[in-house]
Amino acid sequence: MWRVRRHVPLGLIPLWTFFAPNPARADPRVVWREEFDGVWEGVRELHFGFGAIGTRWLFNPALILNKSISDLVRALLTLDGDDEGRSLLLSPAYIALLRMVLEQPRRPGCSGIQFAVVRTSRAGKARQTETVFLSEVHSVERGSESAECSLIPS
Amino acid sequence: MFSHPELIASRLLFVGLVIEAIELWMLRPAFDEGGPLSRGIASVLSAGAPWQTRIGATFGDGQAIGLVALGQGLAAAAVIVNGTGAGVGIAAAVVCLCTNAYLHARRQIGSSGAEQLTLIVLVTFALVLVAGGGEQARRIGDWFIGAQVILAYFASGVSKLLSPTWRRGEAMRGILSTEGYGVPALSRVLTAHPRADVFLCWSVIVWETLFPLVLVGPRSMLIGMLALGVLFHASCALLMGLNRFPWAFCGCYTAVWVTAASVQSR
Repeated sequence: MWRVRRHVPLGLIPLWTFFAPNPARADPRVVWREEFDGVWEGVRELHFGFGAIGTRWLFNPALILNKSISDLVRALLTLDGDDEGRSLLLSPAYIALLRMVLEQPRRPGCSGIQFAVVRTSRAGKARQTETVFLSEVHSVERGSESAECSLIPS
Repeated sequence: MFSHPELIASRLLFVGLVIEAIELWMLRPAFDEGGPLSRGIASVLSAGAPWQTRIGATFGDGQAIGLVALGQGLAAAAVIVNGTGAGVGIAAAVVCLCTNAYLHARRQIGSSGAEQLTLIVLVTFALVLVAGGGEQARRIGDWFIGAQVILAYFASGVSKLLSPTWRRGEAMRGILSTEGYGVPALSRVLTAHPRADVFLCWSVIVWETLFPLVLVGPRSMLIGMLALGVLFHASCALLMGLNRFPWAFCGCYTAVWVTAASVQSR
């Protein structure tokens, strides 16, 4: 069934499970940081915002972007759980997330970059955060602001 | 929905297409180079995929998306006004199929079950037209869509029934605790009142799993199940921000009605 779905364009063979068997319990968030001469700067987030509760029942464009990130994270974590080792680095989900991070404005002099996936939840009064994936460190050319880096970890 | 194009209820799905068009118009910059849905990202995601799933994946930037979304919005509005029974409405629905297929292929990621069902309906309508577009073809199209909706609810219900989290009644508070899909304050209420969570979880499981009974049950059951469906999707839109689902799924309820009536008349 999975093989057939992969070959049918436009998702015309659907998978109807809707928040089951594992319902969402946290928001996947992608964070990243830059390295300057061996020193890591603070973490920044690749965030597109959430729809406002008052209007998202009608218009919710943020859902499309957040679902995109969520799809990539799910694909990444599935591979990670399958113990694919470093071949994970060549997976479309990893490369796509890395590329999204590289497209963010960087400060001059950055020599390396790393991203992580964290899950945040507000089940309690305080936000709970859990790091579920940490990428390799990728070197970037100093002074370059292009979306290019070495895929081979530094 | 194809058998009774004169009904407003048969046109609800196209309201969802107008909303999608507006949302994608607003997201145009995301499709430009450097954006999270850029051609470069789509190229990475579609690399290695079968050729037929790569068609259109890397074609067009934000400007193209904006133009296509505008076309989809206007075409869907034409269907809402005219229905799918006459020439203008039929042509507009075919335009919606073309624009929606392109937008779906171009994005590669981030699509929802509502978008999948919408595209399935549009493809089915095209097949109805290929089959002549007559009364019998439209009825068969309705049977397929009706069966698809019933299968969607049933599969989803069984999937939840097999999930310990759903059976324990802990799913709703988890979903509502997220910022993307929930209302964290409401999650805290459910955490404080776990019996309410159990009730909500089992309400969804029972309604979804028993939904196929609309085919064999009395008319009152059909009406009740569909009314619960409207309530369910409206709640999901209000609480979780799943704004496209009411239009996609409730927009297919006329097909469920036709399917149930056909089964019971035999």
